[in-house]
Amino acid sequence: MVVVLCGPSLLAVPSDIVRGILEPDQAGPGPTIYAYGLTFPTTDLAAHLGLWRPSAPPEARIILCERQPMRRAIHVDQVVSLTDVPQRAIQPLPAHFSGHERDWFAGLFVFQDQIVLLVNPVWMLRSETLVTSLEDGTVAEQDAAPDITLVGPAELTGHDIVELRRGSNGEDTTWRHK
Amino acid sequence: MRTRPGVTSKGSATWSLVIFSVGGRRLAARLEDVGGVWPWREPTLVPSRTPHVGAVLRQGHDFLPVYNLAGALNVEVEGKAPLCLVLKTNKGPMAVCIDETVPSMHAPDGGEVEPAAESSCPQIGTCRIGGEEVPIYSFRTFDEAPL
Repeated sequence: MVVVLCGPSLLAVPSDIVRGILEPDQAGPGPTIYAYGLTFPTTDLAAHLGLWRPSAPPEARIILCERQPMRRAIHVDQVVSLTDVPQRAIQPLPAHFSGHERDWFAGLFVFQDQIVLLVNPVWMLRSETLVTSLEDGTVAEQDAAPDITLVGPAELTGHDIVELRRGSNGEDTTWRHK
Repeated sequence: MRTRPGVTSKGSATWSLVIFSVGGRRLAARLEDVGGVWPWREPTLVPSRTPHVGAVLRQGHDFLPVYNLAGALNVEVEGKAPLCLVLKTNKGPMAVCIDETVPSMHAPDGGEVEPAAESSCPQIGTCRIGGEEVPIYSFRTFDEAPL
């Protein structure tokens, strides 16, 4: 799992859908990011979930996610860690939650004594109503995946993108950006 | 009179009630609906569209949903050291933040309990305690219960 901070909440994104991590200034302006020869529509996850935050902090990152044929570039406030989470440690959202949040989250687990919400990757990648970052920092809702326009950098070199690799010892790894 | 389960038309002398307060309002729950009381800890926010359910607490290996009863009643929890009241529901236990006043037990006489109308769920009745009408809440049928 890639554990990230979004507003006040710790969220987890399954690492098998993460293609890379960018700093915001590497992504350039616009609603899409072009990397690995692919386009990634951007989504502000905190805004999408209704999580309040004053502004993007210096530790903000963009996570490139892909599960064929869907792709998203997710804005988060901080990448906290890359960690293995055994399936048995993940519990479903309590049944008292009966709204859209049941689509948003696949479960929750404890990481370093804090509760982490596991984002449902299918919802995140397939969601039909997206909140997409605009160039002025505001967000706007879209009813469907946008027509992709290459307004981001035409090319990102390999060393600009942080690729995820699992450590050999299998231990939790506090994220460090090279 | 049609009554809710556990409440007879004449009240019940067999009930035991837990009296607690939220925002200075005295409320009651049946003892069998209460799973425990302990100091309140800050819960973890869960983005949610379920009314008044937007956080979870850790309890051992389990996660307790938090029902914002104070918000549902349009009051604010009083005191610097609020308490966590665990209520049993048909979906499992859930936590409620209550005032720091330690809950007390009350065994009403039959005449003190007045069952509520069916439509007033989750209030299943009232209990007259010291001249005050204290509402009795039950969240056993949580789907029907939200205030």
